[in-house]
Amino acid sequence: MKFSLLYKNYEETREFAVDPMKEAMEETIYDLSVDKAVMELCASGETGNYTLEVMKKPLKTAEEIEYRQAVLTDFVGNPHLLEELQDIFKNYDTLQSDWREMQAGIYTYGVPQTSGGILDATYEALKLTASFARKTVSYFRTVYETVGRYEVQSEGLTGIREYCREMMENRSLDEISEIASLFQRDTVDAYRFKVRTETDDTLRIGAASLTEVLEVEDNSLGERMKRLAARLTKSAPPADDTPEVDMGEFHLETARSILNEGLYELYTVLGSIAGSIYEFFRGLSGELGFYDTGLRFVRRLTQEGAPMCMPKLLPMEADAFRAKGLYDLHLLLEGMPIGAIVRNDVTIDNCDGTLIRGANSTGKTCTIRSIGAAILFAQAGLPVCAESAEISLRDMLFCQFSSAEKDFDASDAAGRFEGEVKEVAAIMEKITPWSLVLFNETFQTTSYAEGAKGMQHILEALTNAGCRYIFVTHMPVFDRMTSPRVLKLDFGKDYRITRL
Amino acid sequence: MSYPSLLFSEKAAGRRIAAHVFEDVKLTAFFSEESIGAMRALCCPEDIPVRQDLLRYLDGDGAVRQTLQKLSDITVELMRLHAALQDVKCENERNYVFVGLMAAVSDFELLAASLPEGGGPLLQRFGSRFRSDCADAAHSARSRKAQELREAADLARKETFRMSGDNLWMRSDFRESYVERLQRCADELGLPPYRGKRDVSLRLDARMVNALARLHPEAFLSFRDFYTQNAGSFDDSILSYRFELDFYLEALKLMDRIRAAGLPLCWPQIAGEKKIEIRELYDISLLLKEGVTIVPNDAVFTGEEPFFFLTGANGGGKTTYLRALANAVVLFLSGCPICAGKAEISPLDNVFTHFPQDERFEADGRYADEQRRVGEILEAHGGNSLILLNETYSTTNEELAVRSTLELAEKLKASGSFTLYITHQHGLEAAQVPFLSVIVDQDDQNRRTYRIARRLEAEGSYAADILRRYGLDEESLNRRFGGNGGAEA
Repeated sequence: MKFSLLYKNYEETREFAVDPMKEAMEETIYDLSVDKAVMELCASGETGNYTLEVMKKPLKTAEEIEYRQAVLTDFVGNPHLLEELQDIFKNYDTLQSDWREMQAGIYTYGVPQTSGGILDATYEALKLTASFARKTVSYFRTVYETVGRYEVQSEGLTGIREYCREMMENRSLDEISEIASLFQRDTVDAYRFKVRTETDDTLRIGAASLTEVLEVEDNSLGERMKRLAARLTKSAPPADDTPEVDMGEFHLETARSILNEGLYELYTVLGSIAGSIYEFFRGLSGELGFYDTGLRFVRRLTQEGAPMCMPKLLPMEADAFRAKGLYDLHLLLEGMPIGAIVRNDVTIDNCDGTLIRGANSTGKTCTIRSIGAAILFAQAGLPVCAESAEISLRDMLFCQFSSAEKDFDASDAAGRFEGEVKEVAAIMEKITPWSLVLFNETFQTTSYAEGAKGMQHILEALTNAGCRYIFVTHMPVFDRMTSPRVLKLDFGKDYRITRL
Repeated sequence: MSYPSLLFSEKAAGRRIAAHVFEDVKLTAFFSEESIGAMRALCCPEDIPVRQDLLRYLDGDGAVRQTLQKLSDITVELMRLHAALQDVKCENERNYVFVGLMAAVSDFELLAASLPEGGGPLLQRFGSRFRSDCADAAHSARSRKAQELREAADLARKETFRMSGDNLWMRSDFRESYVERLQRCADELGLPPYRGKRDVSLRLDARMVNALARLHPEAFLSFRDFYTQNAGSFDDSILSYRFELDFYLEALKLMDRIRAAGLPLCWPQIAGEKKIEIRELYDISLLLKEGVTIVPNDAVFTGEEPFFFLTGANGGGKTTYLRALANAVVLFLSGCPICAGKAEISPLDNVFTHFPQDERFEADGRYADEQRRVGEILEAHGGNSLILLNETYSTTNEELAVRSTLELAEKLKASGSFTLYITHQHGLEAAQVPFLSVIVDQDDQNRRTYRIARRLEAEGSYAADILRRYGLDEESLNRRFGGNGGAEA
């Protein structure tokens, strides 16, 4: 169970499951240079990496995306709230690790060998766990009071405020806190205990559970006088007639072992429950880091005078990408003034694929990158670099950019071609209907004829699989394509797009 | 044992399969240590069809099978209680544990007596014995008393210790524990339940047991009386049923598993002449791997051709074939069905395996270790066994390996035992032994077919030679995503 500001319908399985698309999304983010952009915007490498991890899992429904967009909008309007929450959850992040570290410290000098030593260590572990439980529970109040001081509209932030209020009023949470408060004295000698045991049919104790803990009375004169006064004013407690056998003082070792088991059971269960409660807000610090990146992105574009918009989200089946004034964030972050960056209107409506052609250095790569980045940002719940945009959600976004020569030796054309083939094969393994594949000069590392033939079959297969593609290419054979379901765009020397 | 055996009509054959055979051929993945203990003791040939009949009966009667499973569960309890009884520290403890043990014996007897008539001579004899016991009045009274006292013993199993400083009290006080309160709260909060369970096993010392007896004086007096009257009536040979029952139950589970995988099961016929003839033989150990296509092969050994070398490509299925053969023969000798289409096998005396065992050789080196193990087999096989040699002598130089192999082949060929010898050695034609070989499809990039066929001479081994294919050609793409349409130039 966990509260999330990133996912409206948070599924734990999604967070911990092995993502088969992770590698493909890493390639996409690399090819689109989104990693560079994010790292430049982020306050720290840690936040940057977290943000990229989030972007590697594009959201697939408008509902989820709008949930994020609304939270970001609240933080844009209340930047101090984000700062305060970041401080709170930064401390929260260390609660569990501190608890674990302190527990490990109990055994700094090795595991005790005597029953007394073992009992002391178990009590110490229980005491630390009780403290962890009390602190964890206290955060519900802190978060409630903090969010309550701001005007927020988003479902995420109003939800967390209401959730904290409900938890503060919860009787069970109080009871957990109350039990955790019993174990604050320094040593186990400060208490008297009752431990209930269950033996098996061979008289081995199989379970020991603590049923009563009483602090040993303070025997100072003042305390004794107080107790005497209390007895005089109250009626005596009823006599305890439970059958009991006095076993005297000769069972120290066994008694310690039984008590140790009772304390240990409580320690493990309390630890597990405190850990589960801790889960409610686990990871929120990272999530707030994502919004911090989003806030910095908005501030940077505002500062540069660059246009941005929250895109209108269309269903996958609408199969459209329409953007006015689309530009390449990468150019902006490299220092080019917004006025010098060519902004294009791009409309790709309901077609199997798009071929982009044009002479060298006419903006083909910038445009395919802008389209890819816009989709990626949109499906992360962030604004996109355009004056306005309507974007169909994509199941996945794949890239094969031959210009990314990270793994290839330029002198080894055969190796480069094989590397490209491997990348394309990996994409073909993962494609799903309504995915989009961006190819940038793919298969131009071999003869045009052979490369073109290979690409023709691949594009055909993508269409058959219900995928869409955008292919930037110099291969002349594609100039002769005549399918009405393939859009052809041409780039001129002025970096402007012409629809052919 | 004084209880009737479920494995042997009269007695075992007096020969045992070595434990490592079960490990080598991976039968340990299907049978527990207890079952393997039962399978290692070979039965007389006459008992093979008797066991087959019993397994067939159990396979067709789910209720009886379920009863045997419950009996097996009780034997686990019996073993645990019996071990505890051997280790008691005071009379009160002894009396208490004895009550539990005898109540479990009573559970076993009553359930065994409830078995229906039938199932062949072994099960019939087993059921009759317990029906007869339960019909005896004195026996029945003791059984009822044990059950009654077990209920009293159960009441004394929950106590509370009160502790203050070094003082200790024992009391009957059962209030809700903090952990129970926490778990209730967690449940109300919708938190996941705590699944961890610490394995606590603290033994009450004699003084504590005596304190317990003081808290429950009447019950403990009854336990003492019961022990005094019945101490001599426990027969520990009942514990052997653990091995016997588990053997049948695990054999049935294996049969279920083979059928679930869509593979054939057959009850081998007992051959009148000396031979192994198995058609469509499958290796059951491949059931352990998911997504594997299991290819059947034939295995035929006769008095005229008792010895084969098996050679061929790495990863082609040689060891699989050897294992399949070994599994089939061990299962047959245990009275179980085998995973094959059809089989006729003569009752062999034993099964021997010789696998590479890195960990086993000692100071003398691997070759000496191999020779020692070969020597043990030569001494023990008796001329009517199955011997399976897997790359024997592969750890020494080629000349010595070939010489040793030829010498070994000469001895085994003449002995009458059936032998399958996997080897990569060349120059073994002098042994005048037929060769089996794995078939590779040379027209399809040396694809392994996992078929084993007879060859005139040994074939060479192949190095790793699989080409990387990316599946981006037109045909592959059309096959995966459908043909034609889309882009056209």
